[in-house]
Amino acid sequence: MRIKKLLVLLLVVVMVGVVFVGCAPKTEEPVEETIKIGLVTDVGGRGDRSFNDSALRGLETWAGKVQYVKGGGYEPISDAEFNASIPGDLKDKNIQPLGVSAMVLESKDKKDYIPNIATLVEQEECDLVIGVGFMLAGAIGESAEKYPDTKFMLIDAAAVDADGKMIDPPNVVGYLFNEHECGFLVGAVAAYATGTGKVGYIGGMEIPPVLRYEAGYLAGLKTIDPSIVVIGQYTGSFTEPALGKSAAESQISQGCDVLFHAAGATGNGMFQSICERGAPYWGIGVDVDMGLDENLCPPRTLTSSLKHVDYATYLAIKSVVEGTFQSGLVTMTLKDGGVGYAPDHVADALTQDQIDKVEHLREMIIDGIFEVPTDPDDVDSWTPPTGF
Amino acid sequence: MNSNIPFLNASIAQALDYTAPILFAALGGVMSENAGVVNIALEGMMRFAAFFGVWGSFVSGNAWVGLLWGVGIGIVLGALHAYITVKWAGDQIISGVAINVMAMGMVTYLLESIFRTTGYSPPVAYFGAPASKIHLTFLKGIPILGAFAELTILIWFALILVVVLHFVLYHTVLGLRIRAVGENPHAAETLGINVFKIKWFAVIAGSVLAAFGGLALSLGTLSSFTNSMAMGKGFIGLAAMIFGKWTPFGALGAILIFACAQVLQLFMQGTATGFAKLIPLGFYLSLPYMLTIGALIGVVGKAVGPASDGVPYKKES
Repeated sequence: MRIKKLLVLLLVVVMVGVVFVGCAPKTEEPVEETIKIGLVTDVGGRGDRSFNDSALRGLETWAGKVQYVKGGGYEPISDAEFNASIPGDLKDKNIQPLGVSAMVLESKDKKDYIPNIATLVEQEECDLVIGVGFMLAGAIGESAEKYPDTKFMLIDAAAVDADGKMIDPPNVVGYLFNEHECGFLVGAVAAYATGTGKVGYIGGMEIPPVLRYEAGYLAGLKTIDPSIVVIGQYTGSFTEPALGKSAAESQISQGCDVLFHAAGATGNGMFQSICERGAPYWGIGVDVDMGLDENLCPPRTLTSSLKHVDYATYLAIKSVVEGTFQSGLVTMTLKDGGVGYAPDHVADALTQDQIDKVEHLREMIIDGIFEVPTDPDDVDSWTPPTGF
Repeated sequence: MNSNIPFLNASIAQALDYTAPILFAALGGVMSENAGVVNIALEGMMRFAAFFGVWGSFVSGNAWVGLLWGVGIGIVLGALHAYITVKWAGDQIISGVAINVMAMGMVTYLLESIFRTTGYSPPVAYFGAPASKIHLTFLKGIPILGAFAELTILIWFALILVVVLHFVLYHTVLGLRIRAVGENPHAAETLGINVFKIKWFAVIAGSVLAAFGGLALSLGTLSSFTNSMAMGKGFIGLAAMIFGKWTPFGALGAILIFACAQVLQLFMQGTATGFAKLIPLGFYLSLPYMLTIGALIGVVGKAVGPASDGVPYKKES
């Protein structure tokens, strides 16, 4: 019996330990008078190589000039590393370290959002709490009313109340992105790159940012060649690469040779499928420059639809540091560098003439000569610019 | 029609790829529950094995080493489950839940401490790489059979295992003993069967099968561990086992319906035009579940498990 008791005790210790590991604050450096920025990831978490990592770059690498070390805590990075972390299209944005201290809590489940925010506000007394992603709209909305003295930033959404109604508390700023603009450009690139006249699209869940990507992508394809067939599939999940692979295999077996995904980690499966096949298949990344990600498929990444969550995060932190914080909604566009497309392998797949045309389209959007639809259902009735 | 053959074959191959992890889990359940031990820890065991497989492959650069690591953790967890439920006649559900909870926290912890991320491990050597697949080139181009031209070794293993397990359970002495223990352990004991030994064996063997399920996910379909694994596939396997009346072929049938429906719904979504576009996405996403339930309600009828399934066995003294 003693062994049994011991075992039970051991199990209890392990399980309690696990609970604490799950929610333990990752780091803490209470330095006097340093502005403290809290961040709650969505369930994708650190290391999603996409959305959450992008926000973490804005906070940790750029605003804090530190890097996360194994097991928790931060260590400073060198100027060279700092400069290398800034992508080409943001070099002219004067990104400088802001000397803030970062405090990141990861969410393992939707239930974690509100407790994580509460921890950052009540225990850590953060000046600004950042919620990464559309999924946190409700949690941030609720918390903003509960803690009126704390500032909140929400990425990809406006705050909503418990009933899902949009609200505009005086202490919340929401950053939205014109995903349809960058989706449009990668759509144009895909249209030039496809050899079969069939391309694929893999979506995660039908939430507004993903729908905007789809709308832009379809419009971009339609602009270059209305006869291109698009096979679009939603997996219903941002976290299941096996499903993403399944969708990609399905599209490839139906003749698609260029695939674009806006499905978070589900899209990793798409790159896996493309890497197994190699040429002539191309994958298009989303949110961050996936062509730079060794863990995906750099040799067959045609381009990436960039959404600078990192830059938005940085700007919000900067506004708090400089005392210019304003509530409301901010939309990041092609014009201000908030969205764009990555060069990756564009030059290998497209002729210079085609690249010039894509660049021309980019300038036309910036100059407001035409507008890209934001709803996939509107693309059919939308009239594309001519001459491409 | 000829141009459709590659697509048909690719679709079936996809369905098989989707089937393998769930099938392993279901077979693990069949093994364990036929000996009277409920194992709801299949999900957690898959998660552990998926991670250890990737870890082993990462350390060694060899998918086979990963496989061994995965099987190793399967044995350890199986032994833990058997120790609690067989040796000490503990509650089987509680032990299972404990292992699932442990898998949630501990694997996340390991993922972070080893790979410095809570999201995804880096890619490792795996069985799904084009060179590592089993190539049966002569099958290519033949409708349906062509789907078997390029499968991973783990898919083949899962399919063969259905036959093997069926044979073992229904045509060998060991199988008879396993089922006897699951139906009526006291009677089995009086006939001289070592009930504890059989249960220990069945639980550990079942856990190893579940471990293969995890490996089929992280080293078969994919080449890395993602923190959302096993994404409920262990529980789907458990359900398939029940729908399949605790038999290997029954479970295979249930999972095939589910997997084919999964591939079908993706295909339907992608090709929907005109009026079909008005169908909400939720309909497609729920289609595999609805079809499976529908088919099973219509076909299977009443499912009765082994009589002493889930009842801890204590020797009468």
